[in-house]
Amino acid sequence: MLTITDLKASVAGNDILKGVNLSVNEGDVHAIMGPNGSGKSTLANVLAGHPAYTVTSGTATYKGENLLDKEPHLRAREGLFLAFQHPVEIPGVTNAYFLKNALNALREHNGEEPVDAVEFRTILEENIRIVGIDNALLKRPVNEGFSGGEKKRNEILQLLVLNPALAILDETDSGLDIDALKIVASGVNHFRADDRAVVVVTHYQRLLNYIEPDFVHVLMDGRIVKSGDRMLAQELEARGYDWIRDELSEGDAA
Amino acid sequence: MTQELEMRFIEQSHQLDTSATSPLSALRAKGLKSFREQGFPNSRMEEWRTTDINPIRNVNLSYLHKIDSPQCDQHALTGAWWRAVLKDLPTVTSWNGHVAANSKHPDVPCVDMRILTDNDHTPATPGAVPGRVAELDEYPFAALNTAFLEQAICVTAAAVADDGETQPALHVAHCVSATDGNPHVHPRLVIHVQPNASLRLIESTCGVTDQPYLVNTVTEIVLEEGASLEHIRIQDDAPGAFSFGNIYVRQEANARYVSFALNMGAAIARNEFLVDLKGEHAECVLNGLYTGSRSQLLDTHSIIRHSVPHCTSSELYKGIMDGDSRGVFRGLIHVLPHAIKTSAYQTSRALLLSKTAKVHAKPQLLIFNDDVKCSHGATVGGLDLDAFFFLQSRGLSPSRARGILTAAFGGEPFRELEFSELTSALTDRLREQYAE
Ligand SMILES: Nc1ncnc2c1ncn2[C@@H]1O[C@H](COP(=O)(O)OP(=O)(O)OP(=O)(O)O)[C@@H](O)[C@H]1O
Ligand SMILES: [Mg+2]
Repeated sequence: MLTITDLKASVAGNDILKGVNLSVNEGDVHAIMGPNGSGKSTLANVLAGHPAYTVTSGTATYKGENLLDKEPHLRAREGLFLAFQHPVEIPGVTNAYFLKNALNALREHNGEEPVDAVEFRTILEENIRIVGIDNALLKRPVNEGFSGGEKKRNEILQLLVLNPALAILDETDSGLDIDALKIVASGVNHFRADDRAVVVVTHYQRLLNYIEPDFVHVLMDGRIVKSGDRMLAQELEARGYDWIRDELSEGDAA
Repeated sequence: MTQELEMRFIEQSHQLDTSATSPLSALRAKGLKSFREQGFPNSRMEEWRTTDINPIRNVNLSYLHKIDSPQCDQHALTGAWWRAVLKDLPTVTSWNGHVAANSKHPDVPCVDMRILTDNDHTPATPGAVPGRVAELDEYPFAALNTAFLEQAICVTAAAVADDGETQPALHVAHCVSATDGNPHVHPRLVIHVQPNASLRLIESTCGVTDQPYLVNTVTEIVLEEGASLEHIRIQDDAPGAFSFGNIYVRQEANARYVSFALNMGAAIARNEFLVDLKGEHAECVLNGLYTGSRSQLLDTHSIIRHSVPHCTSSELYKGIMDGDSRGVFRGLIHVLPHAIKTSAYQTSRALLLSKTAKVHAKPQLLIFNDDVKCSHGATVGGLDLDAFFFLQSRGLSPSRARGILTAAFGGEPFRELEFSELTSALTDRLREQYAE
């Protein structure tokens, strides 16, 4: 579904991604872990097409097509979804209005009729229940004054309503209480399917107890330096990242 | 200080019936005297430093007497989006500054409307007469309006008999049509809201002509104790027009004045508000939006005078400026020594959509006691790029995203408007307009 080859990218003139290789197949759940500032969000934003990030070399193909050439809204319409680490507030645009417009943009792209009010209400009600947010949040401007946890749940609500093919979740578990963590995880598990894929960026193995990943990768200094199964996450939790750094420098020395 | 244009206006004013001895003719003489002393403002004057009105001097403006004024019918008016919202409201229309003598006045419960002229100067209430609150010194355009005061639309709103009745509403439309020539017109509107009465007033200016013209309104508003007025002003003048609005408000105790001004049209436009909070616990809200493109100059000046304790004022003005347009916002909050426990807030925000658009915002606080809560803030910036990207990352096209964000920005001053049909029509309109 997604193949990233030797991807290099910079932001504000600094090289951040220094050759990322990653392949994600349908049905897969990948977890990306790594120290602060190692480039995880940069990778996510590059895939979503954020204009602040410049791809300097390498490729990314999504569903067999060059992803990096496409405008951000077309990437989204073709099923790529990024849950942001820091969801942005949009004063004056209500959550419900925004969601309806986003859903209709996807529908139009797929040659479908726009949702009518009743259908939209049903979709919302069903998914609100799953993510456990208050109905009132729908009438409020997107993320404005939402608590940290509400913002994250709102990202999951968007995920469920928009129903993409590839979901990239950037630290959606940060700032969540235990209950919320379970709710977010159940949202993701609800979403999980054979024809879809999930990439979760996280610092904590805790989330991976609920969302069981097929693969775990370590992103360090702009590269994926180690990959494994979920045991790797447990090892990182127990030992931190220094041993990987040591391994790497030994490798360099050899 | 009399230049060619001033001379022309003074001559034209002399041609009005000077033999009349009506209250209006006395006011005209006063207005002419004041205008003669002041002339048109120039950019050496502090209040006009950023507002150059010299382009007016290049247009051969002439006064259309009642008799020469073409009578257009409503159908000549274009299908502007806001007309659709107002179409069912009781409406009185002035053409080129005059309401036709034979025009039927709308019948609004609790509202008495009279057209005062030299021949017929009996007001509905003693309060509903021109000249009570308009100040002419330092207001050259109000002086000019007064020099041409042949007719005043005077409205008195009385309290409703029982609580079940809905708030009365009235639309006063000032239209300019020029088959040939460049008219200057000076509509006068007087609003008197009696104790505990309430009214929704919509005032609009527009032009059915490609020619430059000058429309120069004076609106005098007196709100008695406990009275309330929702005052919506829509300025949608023709692209070449010069449009000036002078709004004077006096509020007695517990009176509430809520103003929403939408400035869209004209080449040069300026609204000047002077609000006098005269009675305790009076509340004033001045909100507005200006949207400029081309080389438009859109200006809002306001003075809010707190002269007694316990009054509240708040002001939110927003601008969306494109092309080479220029916006000016200048708001003075004046708190006099006795006006303790005053709350006064003012915010000005502008969104610049092009590199060449500009906004000059200057908030001013003049506070003469310590026991007040006052704040002001001004920002000027571009579209929030993170929000713009976020909407696209959810599948919205760049143009749709731009439209939604711009409308959300511009709609804010109107969000508290109780006339919600207008707010939603405005937001829809902005969304389309800025989605290109
Ligand atoms: N817009 C930007 N301008 C300048 N530097 C940036 C920008 N965005 C990211 N960076 C820098 O790029 C580096 C990688 O940042 P990134 O957000 O990708 O890290 P991360 O792995 O997601 O970290 P964390 O775990 O803390 O979220 C950091 O040093 C960061 O300061
Ligand atoms: Mg990050």
